[in-house]
Amino acid sequence: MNVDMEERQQDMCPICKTDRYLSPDMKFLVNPECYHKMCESCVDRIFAMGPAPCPYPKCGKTLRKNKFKTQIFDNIEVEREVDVRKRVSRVFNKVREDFDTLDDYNKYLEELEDIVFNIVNGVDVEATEQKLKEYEESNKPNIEENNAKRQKELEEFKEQEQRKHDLRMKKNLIERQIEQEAREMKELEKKEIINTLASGDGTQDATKAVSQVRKSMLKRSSARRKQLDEIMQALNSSRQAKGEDKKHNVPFTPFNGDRTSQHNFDIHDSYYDPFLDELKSKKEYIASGFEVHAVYDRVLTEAFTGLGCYIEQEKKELNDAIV
Amino acid sequence: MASHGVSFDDLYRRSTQYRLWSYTREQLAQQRREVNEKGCRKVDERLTSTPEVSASSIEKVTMDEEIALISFHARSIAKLAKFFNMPSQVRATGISFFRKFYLVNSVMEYHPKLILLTCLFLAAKSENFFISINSFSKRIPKTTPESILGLEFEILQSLKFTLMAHHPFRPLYGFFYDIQNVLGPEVSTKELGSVYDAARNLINEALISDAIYHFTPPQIALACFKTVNEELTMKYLNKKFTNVKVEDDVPKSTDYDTLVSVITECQQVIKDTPNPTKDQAVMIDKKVQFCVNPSLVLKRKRDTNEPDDANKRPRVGAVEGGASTSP
Amino acid sequence: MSYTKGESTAKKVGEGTYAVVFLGKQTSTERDIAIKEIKTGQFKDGLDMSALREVKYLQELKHVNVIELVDVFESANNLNLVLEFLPSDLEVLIKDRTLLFSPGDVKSWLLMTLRGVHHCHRNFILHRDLKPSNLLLSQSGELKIADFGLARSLGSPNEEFTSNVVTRWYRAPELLLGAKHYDGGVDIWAVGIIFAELMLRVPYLPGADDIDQIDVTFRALGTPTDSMWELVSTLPGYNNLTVYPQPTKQELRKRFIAATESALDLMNDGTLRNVS
Repeated sequence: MNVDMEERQQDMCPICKTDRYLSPDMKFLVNPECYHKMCESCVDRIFAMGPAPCPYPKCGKTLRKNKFKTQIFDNIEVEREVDVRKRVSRVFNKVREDFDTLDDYNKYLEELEDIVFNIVNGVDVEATEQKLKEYEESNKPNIEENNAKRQKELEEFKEQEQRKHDLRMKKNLIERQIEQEAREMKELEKKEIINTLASGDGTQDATKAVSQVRKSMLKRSSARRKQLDEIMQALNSSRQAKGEDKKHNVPFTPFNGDRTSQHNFDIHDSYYDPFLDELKSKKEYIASGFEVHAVYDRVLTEAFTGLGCYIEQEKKELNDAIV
Repeated sequence: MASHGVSFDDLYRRSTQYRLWSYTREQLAQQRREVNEKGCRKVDERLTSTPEVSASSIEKVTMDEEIALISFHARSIAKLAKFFNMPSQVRATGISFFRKFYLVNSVMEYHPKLILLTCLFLAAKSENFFISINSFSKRIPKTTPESILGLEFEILQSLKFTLMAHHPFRPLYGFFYDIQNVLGPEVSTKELGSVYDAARNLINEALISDAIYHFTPPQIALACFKTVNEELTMKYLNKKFTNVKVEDDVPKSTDYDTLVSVITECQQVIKDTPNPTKDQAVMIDKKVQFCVNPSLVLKRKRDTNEPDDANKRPRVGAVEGGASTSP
Repeated sequence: MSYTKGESTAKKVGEGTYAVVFLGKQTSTERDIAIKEIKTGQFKDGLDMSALREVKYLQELKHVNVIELVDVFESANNLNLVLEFLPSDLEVLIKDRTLLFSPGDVKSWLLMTLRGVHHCHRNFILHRDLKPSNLLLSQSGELKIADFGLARSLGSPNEEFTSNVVTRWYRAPELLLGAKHYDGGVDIWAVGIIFAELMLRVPYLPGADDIDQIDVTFRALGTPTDSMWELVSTLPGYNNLTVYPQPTKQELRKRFIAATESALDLMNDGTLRNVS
């Protein structure tokens, strides 16, 4: 039932009774004074000459044409409240950072809410409006300062977004270039091989030619890659610039204090070891990725693990501590 | 402490070998005393349930005899491991389990001959040298799979469920490299090679001694090196640990003098490893048998006319891998 | 140590470890614990090997990112492992589509996993079964590595290891090809695959069987050849392999749209065979 009502309301202006069928582009506007809805043409017609009383019966509030706006929310109550909030917030425009303690901030918020509540629900409206006015006057410079701050922040944000967007575009471009170059390199390689084979210089030179091509290509691609890295870094740092990490004063360490300290020995490239010599040349060892260095590391580490633990002394101390 | 991070010595201190199985001389002696007393009490318990046997006919095993017998059987484990072609790691772990078991229990509670089999079997499993129980027990006369497996839990509990044993073999290998590093051309590879081989053999002796309870594997390795070739070892230690540049973040844990004295002590402990003869071991073993099963004394009384011949007694622990004599 | 058996939730835990798990509380600390009761008699050669391995290695590895073995005891001829109880694991989280992973989350899980693996490796222990369901999570978000049933110490150089380890989808190529002398790299490979899965939210290389796994892996990351991996073709599993090309960086980028360059590099480091 209500839905029908609303639909009908959407389709017919209550003042001029124009039907949507007759004018399909009919738009409705409301005025924050009384929130009475009427179509655009009515607004034009009634208020073109200046402020006039609201045409709704029993209303009659003086309305100005420029105060009319499109209703954003379906629920008129919500629309009202949002408008009030906007108005009050223009005066009460501090943020959390402006307060030393959470408590202070909460008190501030409560004041704001009280005012909004009163105005919206028609409780002591006059007195509340007065209060609001007084607050505005006494805090004028502060309010203006805050407004300027917010404005600046918004602009910075927009700038940053634009920068990020540009970086992303660049990144995509470079990625495509890298891909392109990789393809070109493959083509060039093929050509080089064919050329050298055709000129009959033997396969030796073919591989040389290929490596030459590779080298020059590598130089280019590494430059590109560097560019890419820089961009990624810039992207990432812009994310962090917000200062969110300022709270975490404890520096991040990958090992969290658990890093094993330095060895008490150097590891040479090779040692005299006939046993290992025999093993490391075996196919199945090489294929498995067996590394003699790993063996050196392990046995040398074990040689110095516990060397400085003097059991007689330490266990005695432990024992004495318990007793 | 946090800024230094963790040293390798600290890592060793977290191992169960350090935490649960390292003792001062006094603590170890105390432990053995208590175990021996526990064993004696067990014998007394058995005597009360076999009133026909008089308490005086059962001789209890002394602490020293326990140690001697354990050492003897530890060598049996080594022989058995060789028989099964087990690597040194398995052999050493088996011996480790066996000796630890008898730091918690007395020989008078459990006869060593089955315990040593299960210890070796468990060590093989633990060190990834898996051998099926059937192929294991089949080649050991007078044993069944059940008798060996049945003791697994008991041994694990006595080991306090700690199975990781750190042996001196790898540290020895590491020093073999580091000596090359530190002494360089001052030592010939041939000389170093033969010193290493001899030291490695000595480690097998060390495993049977109490060294592993009072010293860490690297210290034992160096002790073995030093016993085989004092001059070379001292040259290395001197060069390595004196005039050490103390850097800010490397904790100076190895003080030269302390290290050398510790290593020297260790040498002595290895030397003092009891090495009873077969006859001595057999004699103690007889005692154990009666402690474990007092009613056997009555059987002996019956055969009083026959000479006390060791050969007539049931063979203890099929050590020679199949050599069985009397039924 | 005494424990109160809370609700007894009997469920089979994984393959190979035939155990019944009870939840309870440690009376002295009120801590939640899980008691894994391992049934004897399942393994015909005495006590189960994976149970022994868990006991052996967990006793030595005490670390904030490794599950804690609180106690071990015998009861009714069964081996009981008392482990700290952790309510969730990474597999559960990955599968829950209502959860969004932020880069910070992925980073922190990976970091905790790597810290745990580092601790194992510096004690010369290979885990050999890393996968999301073995990375447990505590109430406070701490990640802990669990299930050491397949772990082993790095042995002597001449020892042969079995290549039939690690759950198939997380198995490194050297294992797929039957190498018997591998090292901690197999764990790092698994971490790389887990990283990929955290980004993709589905398993990265799901092979249907062991043969298919080789194909899936090489198709995604390229077939290794002797020129980049010395003598790989001599490995037992290297038979009739289709030679897939290495993926280009761009192809990887397309697959992992959420990854940053450094994330891709990290994953590459984990999954490339560094033979030189």
